[in-house]
Amino acid sequence: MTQKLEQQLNTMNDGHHISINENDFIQGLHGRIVQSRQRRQTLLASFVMVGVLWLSTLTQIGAPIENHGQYFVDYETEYFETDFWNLNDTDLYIDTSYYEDLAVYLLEEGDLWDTLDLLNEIELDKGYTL
Amino acid sequence: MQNDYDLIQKYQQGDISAFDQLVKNHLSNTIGFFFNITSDKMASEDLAQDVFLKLYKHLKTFRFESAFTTYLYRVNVNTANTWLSRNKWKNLFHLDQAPDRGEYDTDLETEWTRKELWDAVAKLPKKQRMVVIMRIGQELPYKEIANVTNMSVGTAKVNYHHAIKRLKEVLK
Repeated sequence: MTQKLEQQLNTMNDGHHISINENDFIQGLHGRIVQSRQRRQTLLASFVMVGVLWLSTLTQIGAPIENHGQYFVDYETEYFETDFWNLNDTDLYIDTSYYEDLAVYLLEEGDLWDTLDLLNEIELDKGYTL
Repeated sequence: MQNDYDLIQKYQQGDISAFDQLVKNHLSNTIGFFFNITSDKMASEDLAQDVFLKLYKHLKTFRFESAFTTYLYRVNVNTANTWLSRNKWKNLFHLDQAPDRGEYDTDLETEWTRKELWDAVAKLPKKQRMVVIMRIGQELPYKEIANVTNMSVGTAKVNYHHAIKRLKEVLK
């Protein structure tokens, strides 16, 4: 029985000839070789990318986060300086400095009473605006 | 026709045409071997391409410690082994719905199909399976089988007979 099976196995493989175009096969093989090389390069590039990302993450651990405070200040400044009230305030400030300069000039010139009048006027203007 | 030794040496020096010649020299045998197992021309071509792709990668460091044919048989057997194992899982999950009969089987008075035979071979223990693949698929002498599998001739024979016994039981 075992011999019969062996005979059958041997007969099964007898006379098998497969016609194949060698050039087509080799062309296909070279295509696969190129494909395999490209895959390997992609894999390598991916590993390098992951490595770089990992390294940059690692080097950033423990670095102080300074941007937060700075951002907060900027945010507040922008908040106050962009509304109309703030614009008026800036105008007032400019006017005040102008009056102050004028008062100093008048003092230097010796016009004390004129200076006092001017300062009173400034105070009045401030109250007006507010 | 140049011999394998010269062709491999030329390939190792960068001559790709030498590799092509090597492929041409062993193509029909390799495809025939896989056809004996798969009964499918396309599948055997794919498997043969797998084999030659492996050779393309590894022949550059081939050290001529064994004959090239022994090396080729080993790659063939490993590739066939992988294919059979993969197929075994496919069968287990019923992924192949319609079992296809080999085109040559219709001429033979066998009670089982080629597919049934190789499904049964896939279930054999690894050593027995390797010996059967080489003996049936490649029709190698025991001495060569022993060379490829690093076992003694006696062990190869014993493994083959155990395998045949088991196949006989399965194919009853």
